[in-house]
Amino acid sequence: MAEKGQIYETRPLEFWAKAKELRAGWQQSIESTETVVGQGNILAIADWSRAFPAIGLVEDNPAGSMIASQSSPFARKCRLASEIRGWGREICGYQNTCWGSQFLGYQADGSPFPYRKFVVPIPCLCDQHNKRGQQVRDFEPVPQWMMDQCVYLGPRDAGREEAMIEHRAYSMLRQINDIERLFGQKFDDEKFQELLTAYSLVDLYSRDISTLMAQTKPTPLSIKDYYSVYTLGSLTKIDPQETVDFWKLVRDEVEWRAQNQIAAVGNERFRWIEAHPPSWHFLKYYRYMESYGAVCLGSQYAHRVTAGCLERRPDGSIDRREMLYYPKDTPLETREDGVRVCLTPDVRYPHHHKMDEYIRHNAIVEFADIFQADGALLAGWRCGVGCTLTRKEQAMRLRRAGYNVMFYEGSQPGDRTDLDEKRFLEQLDTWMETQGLEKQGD
Amino acid sequence: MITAGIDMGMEYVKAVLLRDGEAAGRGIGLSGGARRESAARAALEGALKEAGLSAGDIGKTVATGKGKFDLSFADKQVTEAVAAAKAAKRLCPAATCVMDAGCDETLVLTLDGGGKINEAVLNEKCAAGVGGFLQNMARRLELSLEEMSALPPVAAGGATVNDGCIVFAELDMLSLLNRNVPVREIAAALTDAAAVRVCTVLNDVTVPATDKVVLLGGLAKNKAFVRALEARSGISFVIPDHGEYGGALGAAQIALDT
Amino acid sequence: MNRFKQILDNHQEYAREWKKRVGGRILGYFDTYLPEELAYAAGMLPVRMMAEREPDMISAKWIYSSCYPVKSLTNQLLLGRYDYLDALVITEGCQWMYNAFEVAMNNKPDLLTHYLFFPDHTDAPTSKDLLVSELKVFRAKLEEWSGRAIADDALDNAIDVYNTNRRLLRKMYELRRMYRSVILGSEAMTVMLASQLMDKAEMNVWLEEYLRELEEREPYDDRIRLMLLGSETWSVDLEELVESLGANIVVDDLDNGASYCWNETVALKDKDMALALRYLGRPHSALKDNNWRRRPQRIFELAEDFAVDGALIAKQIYCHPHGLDNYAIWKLLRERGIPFHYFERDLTLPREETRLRLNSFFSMIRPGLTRLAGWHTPMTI
Repeated sequence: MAEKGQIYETRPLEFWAKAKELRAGWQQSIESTETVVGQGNILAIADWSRAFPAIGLVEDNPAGSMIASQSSPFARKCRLASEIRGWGREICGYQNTCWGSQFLGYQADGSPFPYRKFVVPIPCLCDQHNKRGQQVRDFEPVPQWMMDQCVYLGPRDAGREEAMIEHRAYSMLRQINDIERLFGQKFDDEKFQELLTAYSLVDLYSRDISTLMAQTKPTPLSIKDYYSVYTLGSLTKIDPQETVDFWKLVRDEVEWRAQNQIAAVGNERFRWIEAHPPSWHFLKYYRYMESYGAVCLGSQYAHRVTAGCLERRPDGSIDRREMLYYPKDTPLETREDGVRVCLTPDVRYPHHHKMDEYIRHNAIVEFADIFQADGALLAGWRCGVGCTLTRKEQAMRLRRAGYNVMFYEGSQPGDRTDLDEKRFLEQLDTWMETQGLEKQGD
Repeated sequence: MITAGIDMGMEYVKAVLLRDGEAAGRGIGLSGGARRESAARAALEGALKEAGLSAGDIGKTVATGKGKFDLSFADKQVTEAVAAAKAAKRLCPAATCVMDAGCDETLVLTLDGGGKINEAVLNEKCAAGVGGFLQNMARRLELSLEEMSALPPVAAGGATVNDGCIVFAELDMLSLLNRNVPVREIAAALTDAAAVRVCTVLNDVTVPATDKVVLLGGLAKNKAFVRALEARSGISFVIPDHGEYGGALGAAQIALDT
Repeated sequence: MNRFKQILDNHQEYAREWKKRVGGRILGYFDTYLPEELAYAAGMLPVRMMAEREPDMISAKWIYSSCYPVKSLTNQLLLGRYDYLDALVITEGCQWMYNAFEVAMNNKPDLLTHYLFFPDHTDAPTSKDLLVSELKVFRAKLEEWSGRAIADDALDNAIDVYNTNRRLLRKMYELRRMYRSVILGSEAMTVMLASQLMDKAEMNVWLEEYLRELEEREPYDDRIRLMLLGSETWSVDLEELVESLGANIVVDDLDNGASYCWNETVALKDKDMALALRYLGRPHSALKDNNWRRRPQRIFELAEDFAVDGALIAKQIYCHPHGLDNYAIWKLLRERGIPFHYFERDLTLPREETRLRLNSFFSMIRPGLTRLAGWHTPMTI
């Protein structure tokens, strides 16, 4: 049925059923007593951890966000458990709630906290990840493998990159060897290679999806829907072939919708982007904005973490951003080959991490341009350096480039205590009304 | 046609009546944020009395301000930014920028020639409540707002307080009091710190105009604050009479236009 | 002491004057992980960027919600206070500092800039190799900037000058260890901060003179002996306030305090490796102490060595690495029976509030300090 103000046809997404099934399967595997649950960042260990038969990976970011979304009173309890250990306003909500739950010993539903059996901290995009292994080890002396996230600025330097890759490769190989030894599990080298091949396919499908979202008006998929599936196969451990099949399914459906002008939001008349993680517990604002006909296309974070997968070429055309993977003619035969394949794009990807968000300060302007955005909503997260770094400068540069920008504040994407939801929605009203947009249906 | 604009502020509720677009009456009611509806009625009564009208004469009422949705008898609500832009253009047709600084929030807008809003910037939380802060500080220093407003905006003796956070500023104020720094000096330091904070909102606008900036809101009445803000920002503000009624005036104008 | 104070109070002046006098280039740096010896050997003056207390309307446009030192550095850089800098270098460390670096880079295109990756994982067997690789890149960059190669003897000299400086600063700490010390915490921190602003060769001459002066000095009366922990400091307000209340800070574990000078570079044939080992082996900041916790142990050792009566933990608001260390440090201090008082600082130090805190803390620990009540006299060290 057509809604008031509807301009385009819209219809429910068909891949939902499969997405739910995969999500439920993953949850079951984590809860299985056979699984050795480890703590680590997806960028550090996801690739290899799946080649162990019964290693389950949990990251504190989504765990913390889920707690904040599930239950405010419980999240408050978790925060208190963290605060009495000396964590103040500068410590992010992902940690406060996730480790608060560990300190309490149980989760929101009363079930026992899934204690980590090992931990792999990595500085990653945010300093606060740097010290995350310590929260686990302060509680129980489980094995820990520190890992570096090597970055550098300036023109590519092959020698510099090689040293960084070797340093990380050593750490990663050691982790694999130690886990085999400590947990008595055999690392499946064949599966590792199968996984790496699968990921490269998933990467291609997800870039297709991003391209379709960016280049199609009306967009066939909003970020609200994309966020619901984008951890499947990356954060959540799923069989490699099933992962590939699922992402092909999503890509095909989005492509069909684009070809047939099936909109994510039937009244699309304002396209906006954002930067870095949204307030996970308050995703309501996506729907609120849709009442103005404003659809969110996501962020550089959502479209291949920090970079944005597309770029404008010097001739003005838009194409996929080049990824400097491990040289294609290099055989993928040994474990070491695989480890280097995992690590190389991380170091070489020219717009990755700090290279992009921090130095290529115009990247967000390019992102807005490619996604044909009209404006940007940027969050300032007071307790999250990695989530907030450069945000003000981005706002300024977007404004200078002619995009209408609104800035809102909260303590952290995984912490609802300091997000003034009413003020936030009022700011959205101001943002829309000052551009002459009114709520449809009013 | 009689139109009414009501600005439901956190400290005061202001009402303006327009008769065929001409200002007919103004009224104000102390709300403190808690008694908005009754404060709005008091403000409106004041305006009606000044205009020699009765409530039944009002054709349309538009509400704005923090508590705009708390007003049961409003026909429409508009955000503070839209009302401020409308008021600024009415009061100063050449305006290219407007700042509305009140008890609770500060907003800055840049406008094009036709009054369309180009940019809207709201204060961050660290710059929130500046008007209320100055009011509280005056109370702590046992000064009236009028007395504080009349003092020089720069501390001759060099007293300063934290300008990044009003809680720390208050702690610094207590330190200064304890060191027997003269009250005038402390008031000047507090006023300057408030100006520094508010200035950050102005700085967020990409291309701020420096000559045609209209200053609305309650803080426009605080002369010391305005002087400090002008010194910090390099802007010479256009301050209309009754600038604190800006939001209400804009709302009344919108009631007429829509 | 006055001349160190002058350097600190006018922290931009020394470098400006040095530039005029020597004609060399100035390299600004953000944190103490920069291998200054390399820059020094290239004929540059490495100068630590110092936060300042002044009205700041500018940084908020560029940076959201950082600690005040980062805001202040951004403010100063954008106001042109650091326009005498020729180069600006950052080592992998605090991301807020990084934001200030990035803003400077985007706004000061003429500034020579470099990012040195310093492993966050400081204790992997391969960390030193990676750091050596990074030092070689940095060395090449310095050579490009200066237009000449860094000679071996210049680097030897730089290492020697820096080691001498560290040795002298350690000697100052030894004087602080003494019962009835001849040096106050505020004086020591003034010297420490000044040393990060000065040409180390000149600093060493001043420091030697100062240490001789101290040997002649009458010791101060015994006071409550405190240890200062927490975020970096940029002034000596806190130390002075502590002293006004009858206590004295005798040691610290600050990144730009004791940790700056604690270990020397051990001579090796491979000088890059020697430097890499020195910096990887230094007492680490809260951020780099991320693998096995070593800070608590070091803090305990310092507390024992310097016979402290208590600890003050002064953390900058929004300093997350120190926030994350609270748990382990508090636990250690509690378990070892070392009284401590924790508080946060910002742009200004609210004197009355801090005085009240300190007074309460001192009132709490003073009754237990029998030597202060004259019940016994500790042995002099």
